[in-house]
Amino acid sequence: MTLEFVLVLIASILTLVVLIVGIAALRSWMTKMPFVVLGLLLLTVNLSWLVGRALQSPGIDALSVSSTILVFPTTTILVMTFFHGRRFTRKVYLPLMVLAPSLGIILVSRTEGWASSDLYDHSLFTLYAIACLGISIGESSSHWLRSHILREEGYLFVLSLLVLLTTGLIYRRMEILNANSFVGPSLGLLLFAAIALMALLRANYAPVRLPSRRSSPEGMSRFDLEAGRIHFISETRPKYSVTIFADIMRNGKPGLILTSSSRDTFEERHCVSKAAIVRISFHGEQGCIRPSDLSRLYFSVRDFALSQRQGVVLLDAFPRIVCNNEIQAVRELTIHMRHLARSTGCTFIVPKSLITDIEFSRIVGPKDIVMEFPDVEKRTLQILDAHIGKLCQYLLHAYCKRKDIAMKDFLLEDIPGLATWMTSTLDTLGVYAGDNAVLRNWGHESQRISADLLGYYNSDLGEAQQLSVNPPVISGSPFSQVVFNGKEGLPVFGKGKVRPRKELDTRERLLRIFAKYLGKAGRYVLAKEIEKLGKSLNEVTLADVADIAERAQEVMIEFGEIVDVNEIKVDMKLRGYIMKEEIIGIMSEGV
Amino acid sequence: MKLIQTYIGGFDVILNGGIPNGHNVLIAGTPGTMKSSVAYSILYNNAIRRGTKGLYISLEQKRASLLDHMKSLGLSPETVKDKVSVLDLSELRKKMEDAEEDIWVDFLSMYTKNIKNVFDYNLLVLDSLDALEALAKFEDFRMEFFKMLRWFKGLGLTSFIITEIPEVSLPLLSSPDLWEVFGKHKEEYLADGIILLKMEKRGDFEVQRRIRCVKMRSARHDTRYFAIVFENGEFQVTRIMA
Repeated sequence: MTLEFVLVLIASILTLVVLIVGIAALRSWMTKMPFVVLGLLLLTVNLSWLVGRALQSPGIDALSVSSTILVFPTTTILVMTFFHGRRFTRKVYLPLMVLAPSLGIILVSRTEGWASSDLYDHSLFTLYAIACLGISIGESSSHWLRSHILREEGYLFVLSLLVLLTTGLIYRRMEILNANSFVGPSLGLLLFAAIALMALLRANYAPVRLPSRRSSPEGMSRFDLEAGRIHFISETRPKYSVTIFADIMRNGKPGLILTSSSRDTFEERHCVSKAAIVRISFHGEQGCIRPSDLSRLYFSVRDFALSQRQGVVLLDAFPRIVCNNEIQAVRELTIHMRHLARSTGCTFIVPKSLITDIEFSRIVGPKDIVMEFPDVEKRTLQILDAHIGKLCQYLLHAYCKRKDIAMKDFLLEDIPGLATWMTSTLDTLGVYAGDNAVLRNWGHESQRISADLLGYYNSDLGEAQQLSVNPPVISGSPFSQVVFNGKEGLPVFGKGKVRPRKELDTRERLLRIFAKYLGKAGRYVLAKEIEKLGKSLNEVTLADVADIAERAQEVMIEFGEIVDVNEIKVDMKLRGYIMKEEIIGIMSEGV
Repeated sequence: MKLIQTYIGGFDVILNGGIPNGHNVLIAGTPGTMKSSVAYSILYNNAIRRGTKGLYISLEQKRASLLDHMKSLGLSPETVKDKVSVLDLSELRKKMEDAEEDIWVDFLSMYTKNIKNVFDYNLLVLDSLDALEALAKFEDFRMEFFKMLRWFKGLGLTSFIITEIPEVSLPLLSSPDLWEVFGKHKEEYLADGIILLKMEKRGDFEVQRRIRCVKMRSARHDTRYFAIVFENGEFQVTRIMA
């Protein structure tokens, strides 16, 4: 028994071990299958070589020759399938072109009686092996370089490359350490084992944090989504998509979010802490994917979809992905996603904001579902506007401040809270007005607002529903007639491009609010009020905010008192109340 | 062009129909020439006869004092209380007297806009520019005044700004070349119109109030002096008899 025989024997045993471990460890069937095929093929090469040597059997030797020849086209086809698997020409014609010559070479090897020991001496086989090698490298390298990723497919690629390089072709010629035993499949197999082990050890590397599967689904989602489909959510801001996603997750399905928002913010704000979150960012932080790195992005989604079948995937960052890639690349990604959704039963939720109609027409497929939803904030404002006129902006802004959220982030989930708050606020404002008629009107108005808001929240979210919740304009509302019949628009909040908020200290925040209501006089008034607390403007702290809020309201009421028209007094009281709410909002921001 | 009538008997004819809507008009005059009364009567008569809402901003006189004065003239402020609002900033003035910054223009802006939102007024009287100047401690008065006029225009208001002329300037007014003395800071260039009120001595004992439209953009007005009298709760303008 030669050293070469012993080595190949050990390699065969190792291959078997690696195969068993690999089958158990690899999560994706798409990776597992080629891994098994490649492993079995190498095992066949080695075992047939061993058996052929041991038994001196020409039949076994022929099997060894044939399997060695087949290693090359098989590996090449696997590489091609992985990196261009969805393209028809690559899928059918090229693999046939690669595979067909191997059958001819096997035929030649049989007719001419090639032995496994001198297989690499035949120029026809060498030429064919080099061609396969070239095709494999060419097919995969561009994709490889672009994706910057070393994950399961990457390992497979490296493995395939090494198999091609080490299955005797080069090492046969090199005669390492002048030992003929280090040739052919044996050395290739050792390398295969090393790489495969490394792949297995790191196979779970992924930015995706997988959620634990829930025991059993409970309840029904309010949104009628179809499993295995991509749902494009038409909305002016990415809100309904999040709402739908959160709703489905609450009903027991596992979820994955690809978002450009901060992970913590997203989890906390949208109550989706049990969802896996992948951050899409250009900053290259740990665990982030660049929006231009479509391969890695796809692999993350695929990992999730394959492991969490019937799950739900929210591509919150889809607009960013569209903005940072060629539309053709995005189209291909969408096609991949569509296949993935169909094969795994996952539901994809994709906001289509910021995408032009032309772009969308290139992305959307015939079986995709497009859902139209209005802007929650806009619809809420419409309802409020019908009752309280232009003050709706102020009140919604005040509520958002109190909740420490931007108005653009106002969600359907916030509506019950808003309804409750609105009732108590209007009742309070009615009391401030000090007029029984006003108090009575506002009391009624607050109830009607609450009813309309809750009606909007509780209704089904179909197209018909959107029409049904169109609020009636109450033209005869005494409230809007008395107070809000001005032509000048009040300041508009929540419009324009969202900019990252500068961190402000308490003093600056107070100054901003006072300046908003009182202009330059705001600074003076604030300084005076702080002076009454025995401090200077620079010494103000978060602990003083509550007192200042109270004082601000009183000051606004005082300012209203000098006008002799009752409506103006009431208006100033309202402004004072809202100013107080805004100032109190600083406390929650500070915390 | 929409015209705002002054309802000063005979004066609207002199103005060729009235004051063009949206104009900023200076009502300049020496002490005792009834500048405030003329301005208030314009608001009062527009409210009664056309239902136009007006805002009177007083920086010097208290609301009660002003309204008492108007009652003594035979006007009835109670009847127009829903149409004419008096903003008494004199109270605020006491509270804010130690303010170092020029906060008053901001206050005016805030009030005029907030009140406009809920009390859709079209006429504004600011009484007076001199008081505002004393309060606001403007570094560049002309620029601040210009901004203020633009603000009023932006709100779609026709404004009457009362300003006082010292007695010592009167002799200069007789010369057409020196009429720029209507404002200490040449604010007459910024205003769209100037209505001058003055007292003219007649003989050894009598004094006659006179009115003259010095400037009114977009109006073919008469620039001569006329006598102004207040009788039966109304101002009347007559030709000056030699």
